[in-house]
Amino acid sequence: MASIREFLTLPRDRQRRYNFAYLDEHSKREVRRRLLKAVAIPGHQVPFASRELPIARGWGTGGLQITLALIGPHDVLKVIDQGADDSVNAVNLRQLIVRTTGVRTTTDTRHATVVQTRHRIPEEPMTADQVLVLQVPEPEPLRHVEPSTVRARRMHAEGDYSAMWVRLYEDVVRWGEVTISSQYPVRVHRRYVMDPTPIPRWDVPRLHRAEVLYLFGAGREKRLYAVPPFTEVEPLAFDDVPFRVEEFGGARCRRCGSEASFLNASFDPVTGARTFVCSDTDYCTRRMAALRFEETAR
Amino acid sequence: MGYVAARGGVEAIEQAQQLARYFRLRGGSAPVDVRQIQEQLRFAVDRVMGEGSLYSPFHAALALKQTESDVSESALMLRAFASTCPRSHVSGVARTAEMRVVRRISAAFQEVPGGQMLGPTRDYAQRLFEFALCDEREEHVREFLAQYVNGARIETDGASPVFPKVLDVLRAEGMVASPPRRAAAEADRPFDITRKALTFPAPRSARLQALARGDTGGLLAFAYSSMRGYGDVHPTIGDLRVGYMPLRVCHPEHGVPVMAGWVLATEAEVIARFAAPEGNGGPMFTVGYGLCFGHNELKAICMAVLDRAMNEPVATAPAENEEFVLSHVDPVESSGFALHYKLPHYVTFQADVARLQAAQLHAAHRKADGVDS
Amino acid sequence: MISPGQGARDDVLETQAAFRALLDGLARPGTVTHLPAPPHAPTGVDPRLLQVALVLLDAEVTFATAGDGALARYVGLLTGSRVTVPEGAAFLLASGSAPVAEIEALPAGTAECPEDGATVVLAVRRCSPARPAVRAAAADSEAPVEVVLTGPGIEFEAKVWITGLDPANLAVLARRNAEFPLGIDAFVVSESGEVIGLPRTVCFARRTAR
Repeated sequence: MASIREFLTLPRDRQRRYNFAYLDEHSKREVRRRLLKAVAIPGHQVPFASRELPIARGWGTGGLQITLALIGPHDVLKVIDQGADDSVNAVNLRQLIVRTTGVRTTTDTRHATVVQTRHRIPEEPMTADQVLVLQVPEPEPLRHVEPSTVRARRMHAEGDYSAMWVRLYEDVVRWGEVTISSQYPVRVHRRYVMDPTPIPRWDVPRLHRAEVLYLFGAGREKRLYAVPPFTEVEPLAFDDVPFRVEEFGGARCRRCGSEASFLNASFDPVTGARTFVCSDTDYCTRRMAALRFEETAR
Repeated sequence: MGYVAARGGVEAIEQAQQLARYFRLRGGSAPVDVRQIQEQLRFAVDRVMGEGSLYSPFHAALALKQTESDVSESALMLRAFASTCPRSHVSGVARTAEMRVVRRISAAFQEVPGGQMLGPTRDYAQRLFEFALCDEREEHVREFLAQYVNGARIETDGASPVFPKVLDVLRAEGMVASPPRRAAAEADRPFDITRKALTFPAPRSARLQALARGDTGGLLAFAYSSMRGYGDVHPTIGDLRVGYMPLRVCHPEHGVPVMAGWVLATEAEVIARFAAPEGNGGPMFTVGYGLCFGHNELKAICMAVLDRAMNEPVATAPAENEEFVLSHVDPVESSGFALHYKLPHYVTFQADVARLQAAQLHAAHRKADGVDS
Repeated sequence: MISPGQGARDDVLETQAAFRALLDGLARPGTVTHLPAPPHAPTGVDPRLLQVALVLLDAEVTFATAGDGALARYVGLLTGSRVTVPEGAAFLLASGSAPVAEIEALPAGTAECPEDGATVVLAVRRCSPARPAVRAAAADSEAPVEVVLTGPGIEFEAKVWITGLDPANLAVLARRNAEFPLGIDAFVVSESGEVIGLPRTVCFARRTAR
């Protein structure tokens, strides 16, 4: 498929029986309407009539519906999972989007206009020309203190987050600090408490007053939400027990040497030794290329 | 590092798919015909149509072939396919009283208006293996069909048999309340959970739609809990019928109803313990209703039991809690989420490790300080 | 021959581009974004209001106009959306050059469902990020209104100049949006397709340039 125009000018029966970007226009319209409301009400979960897609629920259908509703022929797409472009989930999603749109793709965060991600925010600061679409497994930040979505919705409506604060306080009393590792609850625009998806604490500060637009899609739970640029996003914390990001005990990435990125522990397949590698493969690869360039330049 | 190898992801997926194909074919047996599945494995086909929420026996059969009869995966395929189909018409209300009944039983009375009709059922067969099926050949099939069809005695006066609803009889005798009047808006346009997000309490049409698309096993587990005592629905089946329902759509120009086709469905109406209804009537039996695509008696009965359970004004058991039941019976959502745990979670796990280490450090300090942990 | 419920053109990509202009405009209030070329509209029907309607409206939602019967009929025909009174409308399409009283009556959502607040689309003459040159003899309605915006989506503050917008419409929006998260969201769309998004979170002051 050489280009999008070519795709659309094929006679209907020779097209792959699917609309541009897979979803029919009606489905896109529903997602688009709901996205606009999500952007207008930062941090609030907007219910939407999530469609079934040829990818299982729980595997990114919410993020995918957002990307499919947004994406156009001039976009450049990047899809990552756990920070990696080549993770099987990312590959699968990217293939579906490319098959039904023909858009260009990239692994370089700087060149992408739409980035769809699972569980990480790229290390490279994103800009006003970009959109980050996050896949959400569980949109409701209150679910651990209130499993009923009906009651949780009422708590959000009343701004009554006392149950959440009690839970955090109990953590501090027991363990010395809040033990929530990922999906750390944040307060958006000083109003709604929001689940930022299972990004590590490392990535939470990136949400605050960012240049990029953040869109969140939960397909199975059928909720969309958003954090516009330059919006206040604060992790819930106590004055005397501040929010901390992860520490890696002085470890560096064994590939690029970075100490300033989120590192994954892994085990050398041959020696079994524990090593650390950047989770963001694009960041790591570009750093390595820059280091090699520096070396050859010297 | 196989799962996230640089540039290995695409190849790994392709190889996995080829290997799956190999697993399907390696025995060397003749490939299964989609038609054979459609005709000879009808309960699987019907279950897939019901959970896939798309009435298309062909697509259900093809999905079963493609997925090697993974019912959950097949339902997902039908749902995804249905998502792409444009909706050109909405049928008029389908009346189950017009059903061309294939099977109809009632447990409430020994004899019922219209009669008890066993239909095609193995309910009363002994569950012993018929090893002769291993040698079944096409000529046996032809022979049987010729013999059975030619030997059939057809008694008819031309009119279709009528099977009045047992519930209607009980209503006429004042034992069952008439269905409550629905809000006019709901009567005109049933709630469509594929077009609007479900919220609770759910309109009745939304509840029934969610149950109709529900996972047979999930509905069974919840309904069974209710029958067993977590809740109190001891149903008597007033009517269980299986048959073909006519669907009609309104002609876009002439405005007259036009037959679109026949849909095989199973319907269950159950009668449960009596209660005082809303309003000023005396005590009446309470009822529950179930309807699903294809021949699936287990699902229809469980739907009806759950429908009745969820009508309890105060939920004292899980099966009576509408939000709890409806949030957990969708097969595509539940299986998708359960299986998503197979996806890489190493970043979140790394984050968990960091927090554990911090907590262990804290506990160690407390111990060293002589503070009780 | 236009079939009911279908777009006037098979323009999947045009609709996508138009949507991105609306999304970016709403996410960054005060940044002027641009719609692609508008669809054909019969005389008397604002092509930009029609364009936005084609992106967002269908049989699932209701809309209202400020008494513009021709617009209501045409939009209803093309999108399948149902026209209704403002009290029950999800969308309001109107010219912004005169006060639009209907904004007062639009739903602003509820505490549990603030997303049920309506969306207003106001057609104006021009939007620009810089103060436009003004002809000395221009009528008052042609005077560009300077609007200063703060809030989510804006780094510090954003200034836009809108020609052909009655300031009363901004005042009524501000009033209806006083109790976040309830509120009404708005798009201002110019003849040449410039878009300004005004989510309910935005705060504005205005000055009339002269």
